[in-house]
Amino acid sequence: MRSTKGETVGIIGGNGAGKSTLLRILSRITYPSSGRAWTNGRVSSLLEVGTGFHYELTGRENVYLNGTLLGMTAPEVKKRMDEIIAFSGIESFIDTQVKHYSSGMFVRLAFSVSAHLNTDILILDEVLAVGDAGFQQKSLEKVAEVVREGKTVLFASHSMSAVRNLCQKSILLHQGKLMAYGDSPHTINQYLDLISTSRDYRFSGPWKENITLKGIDVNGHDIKINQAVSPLEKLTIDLHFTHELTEPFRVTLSFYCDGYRCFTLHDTCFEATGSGGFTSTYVIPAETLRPGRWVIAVGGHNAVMNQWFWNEQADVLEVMEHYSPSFEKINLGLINIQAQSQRKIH
Amino acid sequence: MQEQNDDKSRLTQILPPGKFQFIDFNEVYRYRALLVQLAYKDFKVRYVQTYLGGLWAIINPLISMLLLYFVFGRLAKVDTLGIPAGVFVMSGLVIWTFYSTLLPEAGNSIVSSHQMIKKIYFPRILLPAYKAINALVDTAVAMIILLMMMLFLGLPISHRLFYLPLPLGVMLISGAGMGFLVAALAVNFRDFQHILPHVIRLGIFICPVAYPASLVPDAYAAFYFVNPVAGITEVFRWCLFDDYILSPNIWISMVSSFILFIAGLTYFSRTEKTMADLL
Repeated sequence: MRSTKGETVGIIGGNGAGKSTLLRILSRITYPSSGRAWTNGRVSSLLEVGTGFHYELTGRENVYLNGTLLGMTAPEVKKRMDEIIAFSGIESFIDTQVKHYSSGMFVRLAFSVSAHLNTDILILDEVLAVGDAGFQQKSLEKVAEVVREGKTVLFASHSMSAVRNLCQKSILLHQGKLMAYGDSPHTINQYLDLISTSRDYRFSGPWKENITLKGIDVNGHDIKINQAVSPLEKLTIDLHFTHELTEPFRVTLSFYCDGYRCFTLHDTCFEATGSGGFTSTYVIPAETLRPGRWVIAVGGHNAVMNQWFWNEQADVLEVMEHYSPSFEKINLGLINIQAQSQRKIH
Repeated sequence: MQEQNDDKSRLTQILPPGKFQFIDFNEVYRYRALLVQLAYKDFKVRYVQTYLGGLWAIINPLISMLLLYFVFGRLAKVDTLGIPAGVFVMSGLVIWTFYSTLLPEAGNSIVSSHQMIKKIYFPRILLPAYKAINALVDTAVAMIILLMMMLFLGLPISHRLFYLPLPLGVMLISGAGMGFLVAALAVNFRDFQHILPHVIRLGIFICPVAYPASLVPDAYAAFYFVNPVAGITEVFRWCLFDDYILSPNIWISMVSSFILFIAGLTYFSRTEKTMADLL
């Protein structure tokens, strides 16, 4: 594949597909066992925010250290210093040692340095998932700005919405191979096909070893058989687990469409289940999900949310195009909700 | 315009590690600011955070000097060619301090920066290189102590002091070469980290720190000067002390210094690409 100046390319694929390896090769952190790659221009990669920061140094000193580490020259850092400090929003602490910073302040400053790199090719790996929601929004805007400036951006992400919004083109990797390369919506669709055939139920998070998702049933049948449902029927979704957790926890079921988390359901709140197997059941009223491909995310957490497990792309449920007078075929959004409306004539 | 011209030279080819690519000096030059920042960071962390701060830079060589003076000057009564034993030992320590500070730090430089190496690309050679800059600070402090001792004792300083950049330059080259070598070795063979301290402890006896090289029997002299530190220490003393006689074999040290530098660079280039995978 070839990417030219001013292009923003998303890199999608499941865990272990080779997204990070590709980015690491292009950033020259690791080298390919075979094959070649060429980059033309200054490459900056943000595989992690805040690497190389030293806790004993002040914020300003760290900006110099991190900036030069990311390939800026001393005058370039100096020129951008005010901008970097202003973007981070921690002006009053800039001459304080970083060890006294809160983790939020640290991330803000670190991202701020990264965002002000004078670079031709920017390589990003999920770094946008830092800081609070406000700062994330600011970060995404900054990336969009970099894109508008005509820089080439390579962006690996699990977030389909971010890829869809930021990247015109995307590549799909699967088990180290290039599966698809083309317009983002098209590539994302192929990725959804892949999720629904591969069925990777493994979890991430602190509890990933302690709980196993055995299967997902839709209306009493395994999702493997019953992958496509009518929008008119009531949906009963059973999640079958085995586990060895002693702490109470709840299980969540989230529905994603176009990369947006549309809604999340919880099972019985924080009840100790004992060790062994259990099934969590969720009922979604008829005519709620509108036609389309819904990505099912399964997770769970304890009461204080410091222990959790998560699978953002456990499976795909297809809601078929089945239209009737009560279920119109125009784009009315992603879901139907119970609401009332009336018209009063003056 | 200038930036555009600069960009044209930035077509980078990324090849499998089997294909040998020598260190890209242009790129190292572009990253020069990082060298300064890294050196500053280490300097600050090392001295600014301790109670006695910069004083440690003075206390450390003084303690070494007193120990060596006591063992070699007082107990063993080594012939120091008419130079007061304390001054003689200190002159050896100026050079020795550079290597003994640099080598453990350089050996650890890649391994301890594994987080940076796994996440960001930058010329890896800067890591052992900046340790050499920091070791120069210690050498400079030891040098000042030596000159103060000589002034205090009323010893004449030779007019050959102007030749001083020569041994110090060769010291920097050989030290950097050794630094590159140990840094890469420590990545390839983790056991090397345990061997290195013993080599350095032994080094203070193998090198003419507390005794003159003229003490070495003529039969072994040529072999003795294969060690670059031996020749450099002797030339350094020759620059300071008027009556100091140089062995005709010191050229061996000069040659081996350059060989070490080239060997260090080559071995480091060879290892550089696989570093992130080995750490």
